Amino acid sequence: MRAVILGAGVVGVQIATQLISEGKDVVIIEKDPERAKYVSGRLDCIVVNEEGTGISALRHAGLDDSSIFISVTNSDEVNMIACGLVASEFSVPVKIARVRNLDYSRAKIMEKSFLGIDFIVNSEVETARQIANTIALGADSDVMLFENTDLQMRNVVVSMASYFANRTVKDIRHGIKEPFLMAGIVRDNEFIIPTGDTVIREHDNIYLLATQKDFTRIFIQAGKRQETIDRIAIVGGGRIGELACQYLIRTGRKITIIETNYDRCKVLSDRFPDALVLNADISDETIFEEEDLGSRDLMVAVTDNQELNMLASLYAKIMGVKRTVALVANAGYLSIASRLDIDVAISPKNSTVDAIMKYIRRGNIKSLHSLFGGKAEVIEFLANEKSGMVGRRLRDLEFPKQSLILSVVRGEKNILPHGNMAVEPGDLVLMVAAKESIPEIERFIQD
Amino acid sequence: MNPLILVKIISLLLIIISGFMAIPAGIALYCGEENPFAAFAGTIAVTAACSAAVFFVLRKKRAGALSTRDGFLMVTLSWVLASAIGALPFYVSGSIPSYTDAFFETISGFTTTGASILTDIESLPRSMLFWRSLTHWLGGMGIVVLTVAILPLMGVGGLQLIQAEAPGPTVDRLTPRIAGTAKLLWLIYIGFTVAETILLMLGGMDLFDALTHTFGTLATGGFSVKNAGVGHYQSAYIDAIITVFMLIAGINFTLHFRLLTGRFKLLLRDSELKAYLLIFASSTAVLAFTLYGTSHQTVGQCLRYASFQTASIMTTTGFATADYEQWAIISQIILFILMFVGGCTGSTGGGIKVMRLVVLFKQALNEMKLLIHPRGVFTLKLSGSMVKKDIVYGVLGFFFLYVAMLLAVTFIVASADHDITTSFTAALTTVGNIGPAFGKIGPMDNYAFFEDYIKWILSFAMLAGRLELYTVLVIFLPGFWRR
Repeated sequence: MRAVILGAGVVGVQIATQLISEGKDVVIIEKDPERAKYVSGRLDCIVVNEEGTGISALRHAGLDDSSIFISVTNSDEVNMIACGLVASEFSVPVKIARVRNLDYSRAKIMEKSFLGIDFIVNSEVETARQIANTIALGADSDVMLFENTDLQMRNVVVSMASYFANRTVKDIRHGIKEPFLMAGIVRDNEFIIPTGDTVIREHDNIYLLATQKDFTRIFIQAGKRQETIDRIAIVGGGRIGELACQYLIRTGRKITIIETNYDRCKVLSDRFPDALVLNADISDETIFEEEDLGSRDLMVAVTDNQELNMLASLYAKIMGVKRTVALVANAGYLSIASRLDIDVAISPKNSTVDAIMKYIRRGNIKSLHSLFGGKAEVIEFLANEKSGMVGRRLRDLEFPKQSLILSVVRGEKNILPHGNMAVEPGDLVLMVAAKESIPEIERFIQD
Repeated sequence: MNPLILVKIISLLLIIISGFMAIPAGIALYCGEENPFAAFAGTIAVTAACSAAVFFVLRKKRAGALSTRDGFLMVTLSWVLASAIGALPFYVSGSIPSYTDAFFETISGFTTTGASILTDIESLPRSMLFWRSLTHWLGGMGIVVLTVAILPLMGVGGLQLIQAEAPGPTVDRLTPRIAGTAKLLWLIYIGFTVAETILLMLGGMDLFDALTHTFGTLATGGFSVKNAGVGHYQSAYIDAIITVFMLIAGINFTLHFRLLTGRFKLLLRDSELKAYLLIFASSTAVLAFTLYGTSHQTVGQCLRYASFQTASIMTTTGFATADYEQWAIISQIILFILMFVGGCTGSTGGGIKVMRLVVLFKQALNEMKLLIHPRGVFTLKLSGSMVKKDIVYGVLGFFFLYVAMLLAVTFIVASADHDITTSFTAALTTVGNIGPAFGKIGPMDNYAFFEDYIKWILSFAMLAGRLELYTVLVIFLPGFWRR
């Protein structure tokens, strides 16, 4: 199966990386020669250095016998036109475009197959939704929600004082009454699927699966307090800030938006009459005193400048803001952010990649989340009669090492998996797997 | 500026006015009133002949693009000339012996003020009373709007004219062509006129009384054909019908259009309408409360008189069913305060207008918010959408001019040694196009006793108030005449 990706930006490269590691052939089209050279040196794929909107370039990339076309350049119009060209000139079954403009992506494009595009991804919408979800759940960690179940996955960075530090997983599960499952540990940039004897160390970034109610108590024991979040400051009134405000203000929270561009402020204050819009620069520290920003429960930093987002979040913490959420694009910064005092770091790239990967693997897979910059994935999948794993005891299935069935949701019940049980048709299965194991896993979940 | 085109359009307007004068002429003929008939016939003949001659000479002049300046001058001149000619029948027939008084009465009619110099209204011939009320009806929706609606020759300039005449800071277009909008507004107006006339006749009025009172109501004018005004009929039904139609006349006519075309959602979202109804309801409630046990003894009566008088003063109609000067001071003060309110934008009502008050209130609130959050950005919203800065500035400027105008007119009236209440409320009631006031010019009094120069100044105040100050005052700026 061959996939063609147009645009070797961060999202394009991330998708390519994931597809390559799953054993697919990838061709990338990139017009910038420097970038093309850089990418072809780093990834095991063909890089075509041409304009993406030329038919010859598309043919050159081998679209005649490709099954997926993904257009993720920086321009909405290029992405849409490229998909349109592919639809009219080639017979590629799946065409995906990233589109930022809300009007384009909100139009009834999906139903009418506008320009032959099968799937439209809007990274701003995905990111803002993730921010709103995180905040709705207390903003004390990244939160992953699943459909049809109240189980969630969250991460905690283990501190010295935490109950988790220097204990084995078995001990911890004895010590904490609430049922939970440890899905993975990120330690020194490695993703580990723990066994009962794995010892948790300080600075480990652990991913836990439990219900929301139980998380409250688990976090108390893990040394993290839950705060009520009512007054929120949003730094940066760009598109993500606006969308996040739109989601948050509906819940009746008091929002302050801080934006440097006056005209943008006008637009925001028109859209959100109940929000307080300030025309100020967050790097000017007098604004903290003037508006008493330190008394806010939460600060969401979503400017275009990721370093500023991180610094503003740190400064806000010093000034007394209880929780901070920062928009961080760079994967390297993501790991720094979790070690610093930033409660949640959200990456627009990851949410876009998640959405695209989920669409490519659609079918029984209901949702898919990448963990820690794509090192591992959580798969939420609905079993049917033909699925590979149905009807056999789990211990008889030869699952790859770096993978784990987290939970089986049958009707209203969450069942913690054990070796003697078998997955039945209609069950919702939550799995975690390291990137390398994904192709093997697909065998079990496909028809 | 093109003076010949102005003259041409005004001559057309005068032909239309003299055409409407044929109605009272017909009534005079029917009732056998010889003297009034001669006065009407003479006025019509002279006006129509002169205007037609002027129009004939200028027929080749193309009335193409009128500038905004032309609009101001033309509208003001139209109103002055229409009043000057409209006053002739009163004067020529001898019904009103002084031309000053006749002019005052006519401009009070056209501007829908309803301030009268007549001491015994019922002694006038029926044709004269009908003409007096008809001036209300014509002035209510605007004589220039009428011209634009009837004659599609305005072309591009139509909007400028309507903007110069229409009450309120903005004009909503209902149709792509301004003449179409003008026509629609007049059609709605005529529709309400027919409806109210029928309802009043069901309450026992004859056709003549019903029509004249309908004119007074829908134009928010206030001329009655009875000495005791609407109080003459002593009927709760008639009071109720007139109250409802006064309120309707005080609402933006484009909203009526939307209601008639079934777009209720826009109606519910309208900030001005909400504020208008809120002011009416709360004022009625408080007024009724102050009347209870003092002037009236039953709750029903209190509500009847309170709602009628609140609607009458607030919409700047000026009808009276009771001599409110006999009421307690607190009740009178409520009416005094209501004199500052006025109707809605795009209605036939005068005054400051509810929308301006809403804008002023919200702007003041925003200024206070800005003191708390110096770097905050706040927007002023009306009916869910942002109000542009220049409109806010326009409203602020208008409010200052309005107050300044009130004080200037008060000063001139007081110069003839009238008491403060009379002087100030005379200014308030004429600039706001209301009619009755307090002191020597209460609801049961009239303006006959004022000195001639005061009558001219009050006439000017009525015109300036009807044309929303800017249109008239801008003509007195030296810069207006400079090229």
